[in-house]
Amino acid sequence: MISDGLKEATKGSTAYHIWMATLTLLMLFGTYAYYQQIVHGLSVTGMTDRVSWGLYISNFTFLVGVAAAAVMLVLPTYILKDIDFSQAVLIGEGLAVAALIMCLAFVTVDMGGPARLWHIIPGIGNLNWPASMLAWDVIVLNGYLFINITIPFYILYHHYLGKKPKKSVYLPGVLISVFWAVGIHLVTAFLYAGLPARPFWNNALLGPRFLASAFAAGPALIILVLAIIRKYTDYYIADKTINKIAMVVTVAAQINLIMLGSELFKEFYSVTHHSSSAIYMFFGIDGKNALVPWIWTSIALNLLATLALTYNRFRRNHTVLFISCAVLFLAIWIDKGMGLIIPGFIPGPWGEIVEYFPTWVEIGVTTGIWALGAFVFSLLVKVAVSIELGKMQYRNRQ
Amino acid sequence: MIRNGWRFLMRSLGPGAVLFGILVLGSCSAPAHEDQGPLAKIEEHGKEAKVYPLTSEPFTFYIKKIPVRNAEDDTMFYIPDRLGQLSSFPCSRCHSEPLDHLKSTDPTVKKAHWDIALTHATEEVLNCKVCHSEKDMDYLRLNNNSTVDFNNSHRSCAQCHASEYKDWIGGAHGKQLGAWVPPRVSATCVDCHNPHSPALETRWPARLNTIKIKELDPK
Amino acid sequence: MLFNRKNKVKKNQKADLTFSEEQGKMDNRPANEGVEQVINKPQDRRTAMKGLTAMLLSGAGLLNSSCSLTAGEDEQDLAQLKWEEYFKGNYRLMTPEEKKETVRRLERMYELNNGGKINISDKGPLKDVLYGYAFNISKCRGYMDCINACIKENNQDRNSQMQYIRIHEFENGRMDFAMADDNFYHEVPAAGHFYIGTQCFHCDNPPCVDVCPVKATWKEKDGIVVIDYDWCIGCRYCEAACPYDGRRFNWSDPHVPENELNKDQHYLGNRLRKKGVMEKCTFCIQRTRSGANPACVEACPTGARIFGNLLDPKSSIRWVLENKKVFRLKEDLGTEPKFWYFMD
Repeated sequence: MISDGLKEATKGSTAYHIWMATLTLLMLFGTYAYYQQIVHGLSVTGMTDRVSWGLYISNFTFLVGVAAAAVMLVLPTYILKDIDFSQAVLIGEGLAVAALIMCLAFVTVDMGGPARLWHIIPGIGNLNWPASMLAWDVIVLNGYLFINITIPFYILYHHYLGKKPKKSVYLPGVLISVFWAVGIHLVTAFLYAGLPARPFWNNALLGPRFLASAFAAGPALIILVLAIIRKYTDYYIADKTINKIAMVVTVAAQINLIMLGSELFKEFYSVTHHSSSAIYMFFGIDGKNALVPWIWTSIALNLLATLALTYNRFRRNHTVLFISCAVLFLAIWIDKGMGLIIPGFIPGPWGEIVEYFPTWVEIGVTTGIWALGAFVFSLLVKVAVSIELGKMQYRNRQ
Repeated sequence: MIRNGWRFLMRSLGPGAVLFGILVLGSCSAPAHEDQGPLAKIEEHGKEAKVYPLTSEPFTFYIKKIPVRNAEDDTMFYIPDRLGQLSSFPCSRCHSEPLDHLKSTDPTVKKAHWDIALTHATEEVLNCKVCHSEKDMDYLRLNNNSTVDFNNSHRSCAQCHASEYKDWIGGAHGKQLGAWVPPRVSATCVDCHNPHSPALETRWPARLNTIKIKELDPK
Repeated sequence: MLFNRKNKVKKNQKADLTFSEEQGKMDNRPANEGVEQVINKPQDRRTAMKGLTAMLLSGAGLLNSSCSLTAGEDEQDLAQLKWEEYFKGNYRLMTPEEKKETVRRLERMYELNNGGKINISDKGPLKDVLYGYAFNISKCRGYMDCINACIKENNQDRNSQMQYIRIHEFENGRMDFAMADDNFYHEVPAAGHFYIGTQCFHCDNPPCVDVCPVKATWKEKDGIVVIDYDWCIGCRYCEAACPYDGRRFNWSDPHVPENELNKDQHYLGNRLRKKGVMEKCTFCIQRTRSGANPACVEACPTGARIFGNLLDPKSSIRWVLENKKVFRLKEDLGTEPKFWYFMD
């Protein structure tokens, strides 16, 4: 199956080849940028002792949510036995794998000593479990990756052989993955929420807000991907599937907005020192206002997209739906990425306002990793779709 | 079919949530008994006198030490010897005549120690005769007219500056020299404060950080 | 697939076919597409063997020069030491013999790299000692002598002006750190202002220790919170978790001029760090475990800094705690710092 898969992945239309070539170029540029970082240290990034996490961890946080959102398709398909979702579930799990690979890549490039990452392997190294939430994150992310590779592989392999996959084998894994998906994103949220040193993060709503925004952004991306698959392959995806996923996105986006409102109330009703981070983000402090245009754009886009999705008539119009999904994805990317990580560090523990501006190295590596994710995802989708369409079957080989 | 799915989900959600909760709470750092803070540790282990395998001698060997004993709480520490550091001491080696004979009524002659400006309290509180003994210029005077040598000049300062003196005996005022292990060697009052002009002057800081300036104002 | 090809070649060679005739046989197959252009390329055994040998040789050449015949003995030594250092474990879990070995390796590596000699100590905590620190706000006059002494003592990076200590200048009337200036440059003390110094407070309930994913930082028995610089992976979670701005990260290779290097070092203290690891104030572990005061306490001319053993009822630090009105910063966070502030 691997050789057939490789064969399938390396042939395609011109558009496909151009797409993969562009991604490869971006990955190469990212590698060059990362090489600069390895040689000179993290000083080539914009991070400092005041803002010690930046673009890399922002993207990591956002992508863990996207990975967790695959469960939004798994849950209805296998547990609620809603047949309409079943076409999309493999695509969703492929997205989870690609997103997880991106997450692991972002964490690795953020490390000051990547050669020493073996220290984190339990048994060989010294993993600080259960005290450290990062240790939890390492376990749950790798576990989720394992589940999301093995279960779809099992199913696809059986389809490839023309056989029916056994429910007793994959159903327990699927059930675990549902809880595990919620787990990975809660653990990532607890990473931040557990730090009393950063009052912007240290609140109870962070975990639920992460889940809500993940379940809005992830399925939004899945809708866009399904639209592309519908356009470029013969794989049939019913309108009903897309509409149901759109419903998930809409409800999650609405809950996300309610949570945002709750956070804004807490920060701005009684302004204390702990609100300084929010004040910096929304209004700037002492003339330092680098994040202000970003967050207002994000909120405006978020509101627009959610409103558009709320109206049934707009949501059913697929052009509006796709644009709204893209806009929502972008808005949540800003809000959960730069709009969450950076203000957590500003002001610093003694109140100093030091701003963060990513350098070309960070932007290059980030682009490279997104290209890597897109590359992996394209490969997986191409193979999965051709297996599902029956084009790639063991019997064809013989 | 959907109903069965929901029921299944609900049934498995319960124990799953409980398990997750237990696992997460296990990571919490609820203060264990030993982690109740340094004050609790002082309560438990900080009552008995300590004996150290080290002394401060390697760090203070170059200082000639004078003992200071505080009767109230039986503390003992050392201060640097002062007599050996005074130039032109003892005064009586050169000035063999008593003070009265040294006085001159001639206004054209400069007064002795004319360059010592006394900016210490006010004129009605202090003048030369308050601290320096008229009877014996090699000694300092205490308020009950007894004398004390220059090594123990702190007893003179203690008469007015009682709270600073109390802090100094305890170790909270003034510079300690050498080491944290006993025996303690403290600087004495005159090691930092010029007794005739005791206020410390302003000076410039030891460094300026240009990187910090860039950090706070990248433009 | 490559092996399939070779096997087929073997069979044909037995029948004494030439290479081109073999190619002719294979022309009936469909043209290779995609990845097969690379993987299933027809090759004879000779070419395949050439390729494999070339790969093997270049791979062997890439191995570290401890296998090389031409590298000097020093380089071989260094490579061997680097190898052993890379694979050692967490210092906290080492036996005393392993600690001595790693210290010896580090000293030898410095000698090979720079020619000079340094002493790295692996001295453990003194018994019955819990270090505490007190800062007299009335006495601090903003000189920053402590910062200079700390930098020299602890071999901090000069290029990034790294410093563990910050002196904050406040205006009378409120103790608001957000309004304080920690990089003033005028005659001190300025009228109407007061000064507070901060650094790692060596909390008794340190949030940084809890969050480290590899347990590279921990609290020693004498209360000092230390870092194993060779175990730290540089994730900077501890820096995010510290409420007191206690931690510093080496964003680039730290550099100390040779003539300013402090050669009396401790494994957990002021030995030379590398880029990508965290560091912080260690209460000058290389000094305090031998009985001396930390460099900042030593350097402060006004005696604003007091250090000692909290468990010794006769120590100055205990006298301060019992007789002065002391407080700690951000007490409500439950970190139990061992750094108190008081005023006269």
